[in-house]
Amino acid sequence: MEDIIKEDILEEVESCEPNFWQRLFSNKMAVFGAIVILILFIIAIFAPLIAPYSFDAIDLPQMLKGPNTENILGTDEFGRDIFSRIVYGSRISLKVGFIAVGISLVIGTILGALAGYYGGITDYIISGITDIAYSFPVSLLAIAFVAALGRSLTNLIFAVALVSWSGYARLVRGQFISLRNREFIEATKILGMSDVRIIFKHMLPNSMAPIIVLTTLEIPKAIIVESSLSFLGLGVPPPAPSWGSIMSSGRAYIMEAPWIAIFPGLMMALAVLGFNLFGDALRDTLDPRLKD
Amino acid sequence: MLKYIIKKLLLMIPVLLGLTIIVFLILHLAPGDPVHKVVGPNATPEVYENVKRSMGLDRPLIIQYFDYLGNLLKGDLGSSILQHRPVADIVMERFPITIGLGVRALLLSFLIAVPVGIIAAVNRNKLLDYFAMTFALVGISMPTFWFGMLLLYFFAYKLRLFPISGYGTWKHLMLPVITMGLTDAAVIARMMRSSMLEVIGQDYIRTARAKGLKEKVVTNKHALKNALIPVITLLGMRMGWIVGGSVTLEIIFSIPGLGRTMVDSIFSRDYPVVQGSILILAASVMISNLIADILYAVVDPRIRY
Amino acid sequence: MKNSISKKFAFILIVLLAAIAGFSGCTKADVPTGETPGGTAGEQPAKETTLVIAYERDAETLNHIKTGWYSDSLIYMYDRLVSRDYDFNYRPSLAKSWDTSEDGMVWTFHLREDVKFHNGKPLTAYDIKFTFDTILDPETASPSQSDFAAIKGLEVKDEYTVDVMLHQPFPNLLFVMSNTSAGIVSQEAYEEYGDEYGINYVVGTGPYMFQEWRQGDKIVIVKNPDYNWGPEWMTNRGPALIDNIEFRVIPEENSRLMELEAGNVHILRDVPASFLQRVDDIDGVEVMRRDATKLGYLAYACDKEPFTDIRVRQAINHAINKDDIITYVFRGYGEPAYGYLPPALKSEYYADSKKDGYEYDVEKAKQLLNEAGYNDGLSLTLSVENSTEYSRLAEVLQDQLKQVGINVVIQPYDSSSYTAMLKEGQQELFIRLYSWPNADILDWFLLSSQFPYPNHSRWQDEKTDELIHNAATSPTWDKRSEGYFAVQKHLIEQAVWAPIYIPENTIAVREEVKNFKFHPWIPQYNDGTYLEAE
Repeated sequence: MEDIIKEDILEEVESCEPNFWQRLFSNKMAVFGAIVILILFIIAIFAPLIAPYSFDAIDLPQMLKGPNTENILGTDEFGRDIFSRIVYGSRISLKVGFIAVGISLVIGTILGALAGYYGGITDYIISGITDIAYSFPVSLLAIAFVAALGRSLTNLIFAVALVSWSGYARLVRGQFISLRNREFIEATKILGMSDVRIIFKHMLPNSMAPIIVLTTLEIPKAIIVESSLSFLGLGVPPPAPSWGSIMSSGRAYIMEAPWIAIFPGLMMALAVLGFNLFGDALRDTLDPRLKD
Repeated sequence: MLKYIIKKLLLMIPVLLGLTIIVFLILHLAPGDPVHKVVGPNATPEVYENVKRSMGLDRPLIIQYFDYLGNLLKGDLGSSILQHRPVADIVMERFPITIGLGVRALLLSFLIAVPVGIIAAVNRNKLLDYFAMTFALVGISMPTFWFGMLLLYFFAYKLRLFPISGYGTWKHLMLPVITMGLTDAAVIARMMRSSMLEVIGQDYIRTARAKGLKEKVVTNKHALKNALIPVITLLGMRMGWIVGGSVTLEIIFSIPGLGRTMVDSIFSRDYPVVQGSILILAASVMISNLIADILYAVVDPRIRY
Repeated sequence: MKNSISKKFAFILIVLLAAIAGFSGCTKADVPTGETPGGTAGEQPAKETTLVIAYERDAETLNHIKTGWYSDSLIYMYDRLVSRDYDFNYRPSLAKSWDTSEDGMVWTFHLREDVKFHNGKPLTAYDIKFTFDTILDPETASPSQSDFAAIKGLEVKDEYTVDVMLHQPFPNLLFVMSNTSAGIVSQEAYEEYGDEYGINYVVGTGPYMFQEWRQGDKIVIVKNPDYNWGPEWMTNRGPALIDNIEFRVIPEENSRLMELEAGNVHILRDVPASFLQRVDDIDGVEVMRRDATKLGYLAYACDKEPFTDIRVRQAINHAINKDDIITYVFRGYGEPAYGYLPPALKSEYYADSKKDGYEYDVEKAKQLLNEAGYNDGLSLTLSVENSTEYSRLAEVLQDQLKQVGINVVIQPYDSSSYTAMLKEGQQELFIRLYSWPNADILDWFLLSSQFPYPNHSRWQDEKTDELIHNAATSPTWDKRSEGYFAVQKHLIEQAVWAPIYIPENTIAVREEVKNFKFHPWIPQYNDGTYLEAE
């Protein structure tokens, strides 16, 4: 009993703004992660300024050159500069990552909110589907989806979104269930507020923290799923420089030009690492109990 | 307990049914059909129609679906359009390979992750901890297929320690199992560590310490048992991830598993094979979740059914 | 108490299940690849030789009557009535001779009398009749039915003589009789094994017999010790010198190359052009090249704007830098194509293809586009099949077309969707490659009657139809060839396609394979090739 009260107070204290950022960035990992994410955004936004060549600049005589003074990371089978392609590729990864996760977030949150708030049959059905989707190899469905319906950015985004929505649904549902019984929610009910208002103005904002944490951890997952799909030949059509596509076409040349397959993988690992580090630190700072 | 298992098994049925509908729709609404693969690129329209009719693919979708469903309920998974033999045969050949890979990878990851997680937790914030967790972070950040490619390149091609492709001996399994096992271990290690940390900080451990038991005993017996509980539920979930990830690895290491078969069949529109493989793969994931649930119940003294 | 017992039970059960699942993958025999069980009991067998050939995909079925995709193993397990020698001439195989009636409507094939199937039974004219009757029977739904459409029926004259009756004169009959689809099956075996034929059982008369098929992994065939009826143009007409041939499935391109380098695979057919140099550089591997009967081209929907304007079609032709493509996409392995048939077709090939064809000329292309009214440029889709070679070609074409003001969006398709898309007529620009050793491929793709599929160029032209008809129904082979010259010339003038490249047939062979004979169609391993013992 004591512990519960103590935790409640701690929670209230922890959500006070001034302390939060200081604590977050006292964690070295958080700083590192944030920097990586920042760099990633800068690279994506300023790609034309950063990349020395265009991503589709074919220069056949320069094909399959190793890293040299003109092409820091070497060239691919068409003589395109790998460094430039990786830089532009960040746009695709970020775009797919954010939009797909965004869609998941909206759908998952709505479903989770409904399930958590109303309980009963609604909960039973929604959480039934969600639980299954959560433990299901949804990536198989995603593969089936794109393989059958064709390669395009839209299909890719929807397929990737398939993978993350259940995580949000479960999280929000859990949050709502625990919030549902809190006093201030009971108060709003007594006051006669509409359900919609309660959900959107009171319950959701209090769930934001874990949602944000989940987002920073789902984005890297989405990036990896996108690259897996691209790797299987299901990504955005050429000459789009998605990191997964570059690795996929690079694997045919792995004996003579391994840099084509290796560098995008490194870049991706770095990006994903950055998000994961930041997300971890965020979670640790907000509430150490949120590990699930 | 038995009731719980039966309930879960029964719940699987509508799920798998729903799955067949979704997959059926996706496949048939997609452009293209398997007839092209059968007749080849140089067939006349008459031959094409003839073959299509003989496969029953010219019937309305609803009829095709219920026909499939009817057979399914009788235990007949249908026949592969391209290979002219029962889907059940194909699945029985390839499924053990995929599952064998998955289970071994899971076991390996567990064997690595549990000790690593515990050591990290016990040595919290010391060098060992940072070391272990850094590796774990790298592990979850790397795309599995990229890691697999690297291992193939260095250990199979350059160093000739393992075969490059094929399937049959334990050597063929080593690289894919290690690839999957290590990346999965990263996830589980982190979970293990945080679970361990949480448990160590709890009251009953303090009580045990207060009782004067030796530090090591405290760690091993009490903390471990309780820390393992949430990690065990992870087992079932990881199976889903592993089955999904096996597709790319089966391609890279040229292993004739069910994942790769499924993807190939999607491309060649061999509907029955796609349906069959997704069903079996999904069912196996659900069953492993069930097993994990049961294990959880067995291991956690607080749970009573 | 009860709870903990049942829990312990459950626990043990689960551990057992896990263990079983864990070891289930080992049930298939742990036979290392490269060895096959065999040798006669009792005596100490000489070390068995196994030739390993790597392929990207597995066979669907080994019953060639039921499928349009043929595993190479079929060629060694079956014989055909007619064979083609190293110069691609038609020579006897199962049929020791043949004659045609005056009006060309009946062909009579005289069979060898010493041929036996793998099950020991003799080959008779009944098996010939059975094979083709089955193919032609609509009930069978055989994909090769249309190949033999000219055949009205077959009649057994006596045990070793069979008549083939035609609907109309068909000088090309020998061609279809020499193809993989015309492999002769044993009527007895085919009927006996029913659905299992082609999966667990294969009975032919060829120099190799079916041994095993590990699905998705490999097909193994073993030499036929009784084989004695090799065609006369082979140096070795008896049993093959290599004991086993293994057709291994390795979908990953680089894995195939790695295995070749490691010596686990002896032969790679159709090495992708971008790797040829690298493969040739490997110690112990030699790359053999030969002209291929293939042609790669950029096609367009001729009945849609802007392709209805001949100037646009010609402009596209001028915009393609074929030499660059050969040098960089195909690494010098191949030739630019200017006409509609490859030079390997010798007698049927129109020798002036290059002279009449379109040179690389960016300015001319732009000029033509301007004349046609497209000085603002064009925006088109380029559909391509998802394979790596086609994708590479597509990206280069995209770049080249950009130089003349045509902006292209690449749309990749997997092969099923690709064909579906073409059937629905949604294509604008698209890439194709055909592989066919006969001029009638032009009938196939460009006759109006073939619209809209397989005439996916959507070319409907009276003159073309007339020229092709004249050629195809010519009384002699020479007149036929002349007729086809006129067809090719007309097509070039009309810029119906933009021919790009003629790939080479390449094959990578390890040095342990001795006496390898590179046949224009497919290697004849039973013609004296042997493996050097390691």
